[in-house]
Amino acid sequence: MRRIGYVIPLLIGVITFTFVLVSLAPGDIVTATIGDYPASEEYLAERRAELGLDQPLIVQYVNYVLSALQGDLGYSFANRQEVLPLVVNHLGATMILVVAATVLSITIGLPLGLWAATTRRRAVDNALNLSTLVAFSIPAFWLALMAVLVFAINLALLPAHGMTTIGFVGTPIQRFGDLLSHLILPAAVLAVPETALMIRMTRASANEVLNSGYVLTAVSKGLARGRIIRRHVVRNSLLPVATVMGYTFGTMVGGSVLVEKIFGWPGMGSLLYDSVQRRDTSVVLGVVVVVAVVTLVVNVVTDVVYGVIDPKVREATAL
Amino acid sequence: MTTPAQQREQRALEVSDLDVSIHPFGGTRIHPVRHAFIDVRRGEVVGLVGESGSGKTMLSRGIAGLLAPGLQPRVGGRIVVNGSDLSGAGETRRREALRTELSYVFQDPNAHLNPTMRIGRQVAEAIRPGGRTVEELLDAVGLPATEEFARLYPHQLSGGMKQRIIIACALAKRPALVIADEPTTALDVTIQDQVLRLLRSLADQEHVGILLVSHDLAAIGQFCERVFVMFDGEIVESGPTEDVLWRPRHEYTRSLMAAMREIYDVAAAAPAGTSTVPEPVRES
Repeated sequence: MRRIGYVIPLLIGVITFTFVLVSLAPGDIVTATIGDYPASEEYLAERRAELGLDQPLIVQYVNYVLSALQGDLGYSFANRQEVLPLVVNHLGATMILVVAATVLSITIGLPLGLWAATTRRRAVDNALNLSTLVAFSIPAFWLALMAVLVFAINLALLPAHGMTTIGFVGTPIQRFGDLLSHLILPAAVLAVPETALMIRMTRASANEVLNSGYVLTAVSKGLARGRIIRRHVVRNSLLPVATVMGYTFGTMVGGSVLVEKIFGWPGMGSLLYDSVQRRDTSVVLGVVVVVAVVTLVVNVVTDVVYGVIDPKVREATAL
Repeated sequence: MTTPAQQREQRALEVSDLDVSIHPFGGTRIHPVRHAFIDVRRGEVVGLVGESGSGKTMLSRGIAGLLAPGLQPRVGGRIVVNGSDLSGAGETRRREALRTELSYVFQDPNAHLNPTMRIGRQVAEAIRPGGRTVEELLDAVGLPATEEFARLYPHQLSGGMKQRIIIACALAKRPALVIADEPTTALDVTIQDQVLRLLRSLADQEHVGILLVSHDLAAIGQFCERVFVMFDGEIVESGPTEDVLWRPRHEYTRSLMAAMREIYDVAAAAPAGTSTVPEPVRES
């Protein structure tokens, strides 16, 4: 629970870093909205003064941090809306996608990783190793396009775009089915590298546990192999995997930008992409801040999950 | 019905002409144990001494069938545990023996208990149907025989308590033989003595044969009836502890004893008055 104390300095650090990066990029929202239309310098200066962009960068920065810490992330001129509700509206869609991908990677990755570690058939272990290598190496954009081509266009099994069918009317269950059919392809694409990571991690940690002293103790009790794996190997193998899951959540949100764009998923990734193009600085910063907060929350949740698995940690964090 | 005296005569372990070879990854096959012999009666504590690398652990693990499969171990020779012949036994027979006849106590208790399982369950899973309860076993190894204690996790116990839990696990199956591989090396000196006393009393009270693997000659001398000396993969000397330790015949045993005297006899050998400890100041 000490982590709570890090939240504020960490958030300020993230905001500072993003603020500097966005300021370094050429152009601003004024040039981006006007585009190639010939406008006088006076007009541009007037617009900038209106948006507070004429003030020194440091003043803009301090103002932003102070209001951000109070929950005010500014106003999006491109969307004509407050940033916080705008980002939060898109957060839901991203969460559906990322959580679905996480669930997929856990339900597939953990059993396969354990299988790779405990099987006595070398061929199985080698095949799984090779598959994870391939899964790591495939670029997400290629995989996403192939998924659209094969499953949406050639086989016409699943929709290729959006989160719901436009104008779809039906019972809540039918609407959920519609959402699910839209979810399968992007979630699967996002889950591929995560699943590979999960298999690798689980395999490595299960191998370590299999060579541990307490597994030898279990063997010396004359217990059957399956029982040793169920009662002594599985739980202890999950400890390092649980730690990594918290960290990969952040990278998944990052990875979802591309996947969301390709599948037209109305999440934060799409919002971020569009806002960067429009130089809509306040939204870019807002997305980064919200992602940072979500990642921190997920890490705290990971700590709690870790405590459930490891009695040693449970005792230490109970205070 | 056998009397205690008859039980004492029963052999818990008979090993002859034992060869153990392993094939470490990337190396060639080596033979760390050759033509070894050893026997343990029920109710007896037998010592196996020898320097590090002499093959003590390979010998004891080979007997128990607990060599790492990655080493591709091959065990040849005759192994009889409590009357049942395990020579050339397959995995299933080996497991059955570990389930019912023979137990192994490891060197480092901190590494040999599952950190995420309550100690009571770890003891319970070694109990055979109709065997003793967890509480009885905790009591037998001198730990609090309460439900609260059984619900603790290993990290909440001291090293000595953990080793007692491991000994309780070893007793749970009512074995004929317990192999204790340097069971006190990882413990404090004061705890070492307690654990060895516990093993000794278990041999006396439960008629278990105990093979105590150690390089601590003082402990062997104090707790063992007989001793086997191992050197470079072979048993070079064996017999009653007194004979072997005080009238060693093999060159290696002699050098072992000389080394031990150097450690233990310095204080006794130092002439009076030359002590480096200052005399207490007496008030006149």
